[in-house]
Amino acid sequence: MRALVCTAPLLAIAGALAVTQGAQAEDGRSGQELFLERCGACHLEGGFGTRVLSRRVPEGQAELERREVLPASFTTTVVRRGIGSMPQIRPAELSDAELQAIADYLEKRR
Amino acid sequence: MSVLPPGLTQETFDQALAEFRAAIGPQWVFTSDADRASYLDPFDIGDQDDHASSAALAPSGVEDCRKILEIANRYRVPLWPISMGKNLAYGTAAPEMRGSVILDLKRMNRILEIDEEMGTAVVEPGVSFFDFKAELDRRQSGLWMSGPSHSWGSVIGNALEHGVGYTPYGQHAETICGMEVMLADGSLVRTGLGAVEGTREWQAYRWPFGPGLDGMFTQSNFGIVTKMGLCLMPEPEGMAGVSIRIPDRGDFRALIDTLRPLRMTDVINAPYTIANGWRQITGGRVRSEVWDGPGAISRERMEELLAERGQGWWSVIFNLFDSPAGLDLRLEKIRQAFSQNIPGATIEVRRWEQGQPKESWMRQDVSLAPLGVVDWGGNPGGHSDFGPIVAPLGDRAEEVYAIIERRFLEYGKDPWIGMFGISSRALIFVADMFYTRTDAEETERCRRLFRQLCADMTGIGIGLYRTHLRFMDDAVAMHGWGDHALPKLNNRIKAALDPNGILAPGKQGIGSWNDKEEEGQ
Ligand SMILES: Cc1cc2nc3c(=O)[nH]c(=O)nc-3n(C[C@H](O)[C@H](O)[C@H](O)COP(=O)(O)OP(=O)(O)OC[C@H]3O[C@@H](n4cnc5c(N)ncnc54)[C@H](O)[C@@H]3O)c2cc1C
Ligand code: HEC
Repeated sequence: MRALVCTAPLLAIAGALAVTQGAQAEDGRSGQELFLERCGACHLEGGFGTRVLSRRVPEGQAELERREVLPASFTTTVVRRGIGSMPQIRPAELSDAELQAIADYLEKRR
Repeated sequence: MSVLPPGLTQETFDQALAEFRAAIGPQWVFTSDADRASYLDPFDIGDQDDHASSAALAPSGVEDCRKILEIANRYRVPLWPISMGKNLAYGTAAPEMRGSVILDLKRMNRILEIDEEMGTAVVEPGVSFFDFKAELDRRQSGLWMSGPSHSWGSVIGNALEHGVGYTPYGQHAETICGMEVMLADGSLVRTGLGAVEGTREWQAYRWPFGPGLDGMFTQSNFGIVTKMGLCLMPEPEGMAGVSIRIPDRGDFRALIDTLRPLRMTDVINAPYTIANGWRQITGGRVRSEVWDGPGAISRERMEELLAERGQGWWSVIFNLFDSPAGLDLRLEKIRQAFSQNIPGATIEVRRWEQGQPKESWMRQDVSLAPLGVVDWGGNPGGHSDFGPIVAPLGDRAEEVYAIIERRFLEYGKDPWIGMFGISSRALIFVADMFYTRTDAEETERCRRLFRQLCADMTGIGIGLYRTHLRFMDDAVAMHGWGDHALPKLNNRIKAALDPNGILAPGKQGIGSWNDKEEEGQ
């Protein structure tokens, strides 16, 4: 009964961080912007997530934005369920459409 | 696998859900396994399923809340309100009673007012510390936020839970000035001067004609807080960051007796944090890198680790807020007091003045970095704490400290203890337990340790600041004076305001404690 996941890019609203990929949420914010805002505090260089991941993934792969392979379906599951020491994030705080935009950005970014 | 509210059949619950969908929109009623899993407590001290919810509802405003309450009362559906729902270490977004429906207020996230002249704000529950800081920055406000160490939570949820920050406004419940609250029957009340029609003074003064009720709705299940007024600190002219090292373990009593008068006379004008040895050796590594023995890290190993880092047995950190000249005076008094009482102490000071770029020691930036500590004890990491409130008197603090340290060692846990000089007359001890959440033996040991400490503290007349969901009944039972007169009064208020008991059953043991007593437990 949830809102339909929005995969088609909506009107491109040029944000300060506009990216070339099409991953966007309903309000037009790009997957990259959303990633920085909602995941960045833990997943940029030196963040909690990056530090924990650097202990268990191959070198250079701990920063999600530099990950060679990161399937979108894996990201969406991880975010809703949590993984290891990462607390999960609920649909009321990050909608399915926003999460999909982030996951698509992380998958296709390169 | 479906979870039901206690006492409801699948059929009646489905009917209630259908009514909730019609009332607030189907997309705001969450029932799938994946969605419900997102409300489990990631740091639970045991099986997360013990506190599983049956569904979640995300209202858009007070009208939605009213509709939800009307339906919940009819079907007897228990509701667990959360604001940002990041009550990490104490239950996160999960309910005390399994099968409760989460009332997720995240969508109600407007910052209704920031009054630069009065130094006040009015916010809704879903406003996170990230949101609030961003808005202050956007407005180039001259007012500062006081937040807890990690910024994921909400201004309202944290203040309601008596949260702690590190500025002169760091006792967050004390900064509350007026609330709007929806009671279980759907009636809406404004506390304080908010009760005066057309007032300009809602946030100006907390004491209306008649009883001040703000406190009644903190750490409570008497209502749903839909708006909150807060006092904010004007940007100071300057700041000093002070860190003090005390090498000698035997100086604890002197330390407490040195800090108390400084804090009481407001020379130290913000909460201070004292850390014991175990608490200082954590940063930047995991426990298995420094200790592979059984049980807690031994005192000897700890001393080696402290020496490696050039740290003392105790450390104290705090920030001072004043003009540059005022800071000089404060620092002089602090230096004098320490050189008289604890000559071995070393004091380091950093300074900041208005106009200079902010630095991390000022704790003015939003951050999630502090959550990193959760991984210290093992992965998937979990953490909770035992938090007694103690008078800052050397003898008393030492008595409590000694018991906690001894019990932690006895139960094979590192006594990772911080003591927060939250106000001039109270120290909150935060004795953290880190565990691998999936290790059933370890989490069970932590629960036993916690309950042992409740018994120890009851014996010497000490109560707790806040607890994880699992220990609500243990903590409330510590209030035994007058045949548990205070818990009983809370239960009577609860029965009067919420006769169907639909709001946050089990919260702070209100309601549930009495039930158990009647059942003869
Ligand atoms: C590493 C670490 C460090 C921490 N440091 C600190 C710290 O420095 N200071 C500190 O205070 N805490 C600290 N915490 C504890 C906690 O994570 C924070 O206090 C956090 O801000 C609480 O989450 P929240 O604001 O999202 O509250 P919520 O989860 O939204 O609310 C907490 C509870 O309050 C009640 N409630 C919330 N909103 C309402 C409402 N609108 N109406 C009625 N009842 C309501 C509910 O019972 C709810 O479960 C720390 C935790 C960790 C893991
Ligand atoms: C509070 C900090 C925090 C936030 C916020 C956070 N994460 Fe994480 N994340 C972590 C941690 C810690 C890990 C590592 C967990 C572990 O292995 O114990 C992790 C792991 C992951 C992984 C798994 C990678 C792997 O290889 O296993 C993914 C994917 C992920 N996060 C995505 C996200 C996305 C997307 C967001 C934002 C919507 C996000 N995270 C927000 C802390 C965070």
